[in-house]
Amino acid sequence: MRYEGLTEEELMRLYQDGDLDALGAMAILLLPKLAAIARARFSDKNLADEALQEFWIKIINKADSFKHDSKVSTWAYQVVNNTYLDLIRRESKRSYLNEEISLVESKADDAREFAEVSTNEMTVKAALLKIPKDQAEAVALVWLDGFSIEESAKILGIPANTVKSRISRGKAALAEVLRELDPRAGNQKYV
Amino acid sequence: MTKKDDFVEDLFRDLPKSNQMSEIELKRHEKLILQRIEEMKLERVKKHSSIYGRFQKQFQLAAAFLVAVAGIGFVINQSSTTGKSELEIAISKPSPADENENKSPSNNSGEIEKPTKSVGGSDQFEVTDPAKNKYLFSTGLDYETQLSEIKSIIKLSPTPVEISKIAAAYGKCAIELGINEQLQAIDKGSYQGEEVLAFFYEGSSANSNIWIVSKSCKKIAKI
Repeated sequence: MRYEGLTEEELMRLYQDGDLDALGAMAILLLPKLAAIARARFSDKNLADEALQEFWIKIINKADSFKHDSKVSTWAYQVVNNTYLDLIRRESKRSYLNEEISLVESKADDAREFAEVSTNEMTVKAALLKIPKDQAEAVALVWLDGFSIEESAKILGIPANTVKSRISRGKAALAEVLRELDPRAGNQKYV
Repeated sequence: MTKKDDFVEDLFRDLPKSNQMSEIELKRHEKLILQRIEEMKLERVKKHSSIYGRFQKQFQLAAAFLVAVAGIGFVINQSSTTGKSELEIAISKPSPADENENKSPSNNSGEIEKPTKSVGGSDQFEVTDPAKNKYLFSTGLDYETQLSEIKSIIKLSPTPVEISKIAAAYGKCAIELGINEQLQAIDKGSYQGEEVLAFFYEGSSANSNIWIVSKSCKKIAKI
């Protein structure tokens, strides 16, 4: 293969010198990492697939803005995190509509249960939109994607202690938001 | 942060995850990526061609503009040049040399004649530029009766006239007369009712030697 053995950074340089095929090769190289994030953040397979596509489209579209001041994977995670918050925003609206439809049109227990589960998941994730973005990024990487504090620190390009601090503040903020969304929060688990 | 907030972490960690993506699914995304890259290549080609097209259009407009400007400039230049030459003609004055030459009664335009060879072998006079033949004259005066007047008109060259700078017939005649290295002026006049050529040589304006010859350089008299 033409680009075999090249790093993400080298492929990015080739692209920025005008080689569009190098951009494709770089996106393909990032694909397994992006797929892992999509899978970790969306329980629904279709949503995960949709998210993965959104991730690599955003990375391709924003590749011109990469300044080579960090690793490509770090930059890509930041792009993915922003995209993820957009997707949650979009999905929470869609989920709200689904709930309305399911309550009006279907009284079946299965349908109600499905709606309740998906709504609870979206409620939890939508809470991320209501806290500061830097805290939401740290929470998503550690709690949803399963990265360690150190790995998350490398991805975000910040010290590990800062990641811990952001998660701590994020946890308090999320608790506040979730209690507002549902007073039962804290007394029982959602799912 | 309090202990009672720990439920948040549990909520997030316990959220369901989708199954790991299969190789087939990843391959499908690879194909989609490659398709997108091909689309971007086409977009780039279209963009380049549209930029080229726009540049070409702009170039044509610029070229047309330059041609128009050059045309206007030419017209303006022509009109200003004509005005200037008219002005120069109006203010120009003849130089003393010109005045001298204009005194010679050749013709109204100030031009004098020089001989040229005819078919019959005899010399003919042709019109020449006086500025180029400063020591060639055409007084038309009679060398028998008007010599003093002729001498006041004829201006002698302080150095021998170069044969190469006068008409070939004159030069040939000067050589035949043996005065080619002393020639000071040539004049066309008359002698005993006949059109003649007068070759001035080796002398001063007051006392000059003159050979009077026919048009065909036949010696008539030495004055």
